[in-house]
Amino acid sequence: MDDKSILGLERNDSTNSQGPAASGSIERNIKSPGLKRLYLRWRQLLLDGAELPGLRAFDFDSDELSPHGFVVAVEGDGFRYTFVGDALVKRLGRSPVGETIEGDAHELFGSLQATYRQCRAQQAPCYEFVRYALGDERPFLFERLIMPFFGGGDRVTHLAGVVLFSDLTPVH
Amino acid sequence: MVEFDSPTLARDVERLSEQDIDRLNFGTIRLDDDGRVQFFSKAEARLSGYGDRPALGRVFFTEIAPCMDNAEFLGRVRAAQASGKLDLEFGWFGDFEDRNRHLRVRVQSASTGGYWIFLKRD
Repeated sequence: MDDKSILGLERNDSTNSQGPAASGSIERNIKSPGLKRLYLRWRQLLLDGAELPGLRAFDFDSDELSPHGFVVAVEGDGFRYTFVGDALVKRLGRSPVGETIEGDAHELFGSLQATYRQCRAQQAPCYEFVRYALGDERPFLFERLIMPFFGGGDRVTHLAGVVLFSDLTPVH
Repeated sequence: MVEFDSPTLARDVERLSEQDIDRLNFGTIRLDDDGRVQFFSKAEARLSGYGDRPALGRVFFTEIAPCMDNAEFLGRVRAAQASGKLDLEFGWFGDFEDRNRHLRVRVQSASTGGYWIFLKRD
């Protein structure tokens, strides 16, 4: 069994030039077109490449969503921020680059620790959203996509993610 | 047919009999303002694996679903309650085999007090 089979994401022979076959849960439920595009790009890299997706090959830094993105390096049981996009830094009011997340450490964008662990353990992307409104405020949508990246073999060395906050039109 | 994505999901469900709610393809729970279970659909009991254990009157977030007793879920529900408007949706999805990890949850106020929780597995 090769690495892609382990991931349950082996190439589908019916895949054609239109791109990878529908992958199921994430693709059906992801809301923002930009996040879906990013997710499909990760998936295409998985399907096309000889190896599992690596961060360098993905070229996350040049993606138009990278200002809303972050990268953490997997270090033992913890994670260390190696990149945080400008939009997230502005929202946080500081840059967490260099900071580590271990144990029950403070969470920056929700339950990161649990999501990171799941993404690393499952070796597969994770997508979460919250649609939320308080009182008469405009409802907003929080979305987070996290993708695993490999450093050769099937070992996850980095996680890269994008966090989006979108205003929604209220439903009356 | 009640659609999970309906903006007026709670009102739509309230027009159904309990038997019809039990036949929906998603789980339905109604809690009072203190979080005690007032209704727990048979669909939710089956889909969640909770089975036929007693649910009515139990405190949902401590006795049935302690995994939701956290700031991310219950904290948001409480904040929305305090604001007078309860209409939330959460979703968790991943490219992995365990289908129980793929879940959408909607929370809306009940017209008679308390609130509804609707859970749809992917």
